[in-house]
Amino acid sequence: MQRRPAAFNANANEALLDADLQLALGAAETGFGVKRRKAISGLPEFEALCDQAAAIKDHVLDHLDTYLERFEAQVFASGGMVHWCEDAEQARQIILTLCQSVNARMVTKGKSMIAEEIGLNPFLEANNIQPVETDLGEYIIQLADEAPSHIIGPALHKTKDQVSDLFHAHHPAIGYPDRLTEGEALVGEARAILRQKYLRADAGITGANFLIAETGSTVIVTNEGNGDMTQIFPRMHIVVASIEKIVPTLEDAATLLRVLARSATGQEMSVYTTFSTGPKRRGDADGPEQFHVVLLDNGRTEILGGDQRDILRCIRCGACMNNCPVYMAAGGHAYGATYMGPMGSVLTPNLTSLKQAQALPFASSFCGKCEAVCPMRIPLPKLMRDLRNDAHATRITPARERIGLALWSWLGQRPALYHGISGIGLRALNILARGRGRLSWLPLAGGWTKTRDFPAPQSESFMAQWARQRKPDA
Amino acid sequence: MSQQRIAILSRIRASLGARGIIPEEHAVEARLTARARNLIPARGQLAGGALVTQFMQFAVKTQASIATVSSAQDVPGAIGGYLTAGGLSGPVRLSGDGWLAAMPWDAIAHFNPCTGAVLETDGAGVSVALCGIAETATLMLTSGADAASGLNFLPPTHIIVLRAMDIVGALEDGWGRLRQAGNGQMPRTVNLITGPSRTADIAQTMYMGAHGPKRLHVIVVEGDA
Repeated sequence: MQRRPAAFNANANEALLDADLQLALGAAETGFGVKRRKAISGLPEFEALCDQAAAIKDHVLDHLDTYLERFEAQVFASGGMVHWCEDAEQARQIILTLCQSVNARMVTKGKSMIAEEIGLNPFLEANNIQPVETDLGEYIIQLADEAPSHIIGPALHKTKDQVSDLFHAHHPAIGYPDRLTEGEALVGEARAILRQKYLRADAGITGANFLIAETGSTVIVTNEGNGDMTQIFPRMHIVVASIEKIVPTLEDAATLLRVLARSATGQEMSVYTTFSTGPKRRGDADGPEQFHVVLLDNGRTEILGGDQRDILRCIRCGACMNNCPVYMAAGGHAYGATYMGPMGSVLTPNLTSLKQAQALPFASSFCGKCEAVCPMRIPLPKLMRDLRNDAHATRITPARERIGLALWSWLGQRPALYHGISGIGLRALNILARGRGRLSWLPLAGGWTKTRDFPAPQSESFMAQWARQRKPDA
Repeated sequence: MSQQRIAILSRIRASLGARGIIPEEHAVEARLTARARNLIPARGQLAGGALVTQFMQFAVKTQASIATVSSAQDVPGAIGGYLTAGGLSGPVRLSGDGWLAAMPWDAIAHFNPCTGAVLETDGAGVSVALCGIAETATLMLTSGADAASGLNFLPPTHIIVLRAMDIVGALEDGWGRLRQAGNGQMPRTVNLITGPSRTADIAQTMYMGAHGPKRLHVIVVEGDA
């Protein structure tokens, strides 16, 4: 798979032929759907809560500057520091400077999509700091040297057998010689290895699901507990978060938490929701001595002013990809970018450029399921449609496609000509189908007929039938 | 004030201005001061005995185990009974909480109950919850001089002791307790814990005890004030 959005079509073709990937995606597709529906059925107020959650984020976006200032003031008042970064490079540099200030050799990391977005791991490695991913899914793909294929299940594309092989390739060198096949044993082995890391790391880096303006707290939501051990034991806790993660109050966070876990994993609450405010207090039994929040813009301030702003409400639950037929067929790596699925198809062109990522808004059947399950009421199909329109208007779609559409539009505006030509076409297709109702070969449609038959149309168009059947009355 | 900070804030203001949004600082101030509650689901609006009943019922659904005792004096015995029944061993690391310290730990001396820094070799950790939230059977724990957050994660078994009268309905009620306890100041760490650690990162199958505790046992103390 190529790690660039422009390769989506080639990547998707490859993905469809990958038996392991299809096996892994099959397990995910049924699991996520059932769990989400069950969780929502237990909360009659769910839809009303989604409306309120979306309204909270809209309010924040309308006052983002003031909320960020309040958040910063509260972090400072609790003894922490805020670092503002306009782009990925600035964020990487400040994190490196912070790590070097405590002579860090090894840092533990909780799961963070922002760390993926800024390419933190390869950068730290190049600067002789070893980043250790502690979320089990992230740990698996770090061993495999791959990117996450899902925003909440980074190793969703891996089968259990593949995890066994991966552990057996890496763990014998550190004292675990056997190839394990039971899931519980695999989890246990990773647990034992990572426990040694939490207690020895020089700094811990986590992301944030929310930043609370009222208190200056950063919030992580996890099931494993790795994000907590990542921040409790080392001397320094670095939080990396994008600017739109702001939530006004603890009350507002409560509303968002009610829709987040249910939409994501189908839990009523994730196991660990942790609010971190500043460094350890004088006399505290444990906690980091330093607390730093690295705030990332990286294009979001531009999105805020445009007509794709709704995507900034996203709380990264993953429901859109869990319910997307394209994602569940192609997998996350096909998107060739940090973010995948419907939210990725909108966010990636906005964060990079539509020219680089124009294939992504086309990676949708517009079935509308993503919008229906989005707890933040993001009109994902509309945003993708707008991006398609932009791509067409700015002439970055393939020329063949634009010429085809122009021809179609020209023809569509001339009804007599259109009916004449389509009538000839229908007859021709019916002759080719030779009464079988399907075509296994069709000129100019080799891409379709290579893997499946093309259904033959009716021999007469609706308009022609209408005209013929009305004749006796006329 | 950093150059990056100025640049980001001015880009935000330009973007909001382009959309015709007029900055209303008082709207932010008002929201942060009012801390108004949004919709609270019916399941978070119980009172009285129903709170304890629902908390216990939902706790089991989160894969935690739960027991009640009638007095704080019975807590060590209940912990001993739980560890024995599960074939588990000590040491039992107690948080520095004064309420725990006053309990009769001699009764389970063979499990080596002790206070002090949590160690990897500890068999179980015992903490006291600030409150329990009946809406989702969530426990709220705060860090402090007598409460290490690490105790909630490092030992393979986590035991949380909770006063029945500290069970509230909704998460918002929990925030009320938190603000009251800290006199408006947030502790360094607030842990909301809902069940024991788990992962579904291997082939979408749920395994317990990913990094945090494999077992979560809650003891609800009914009698004490």
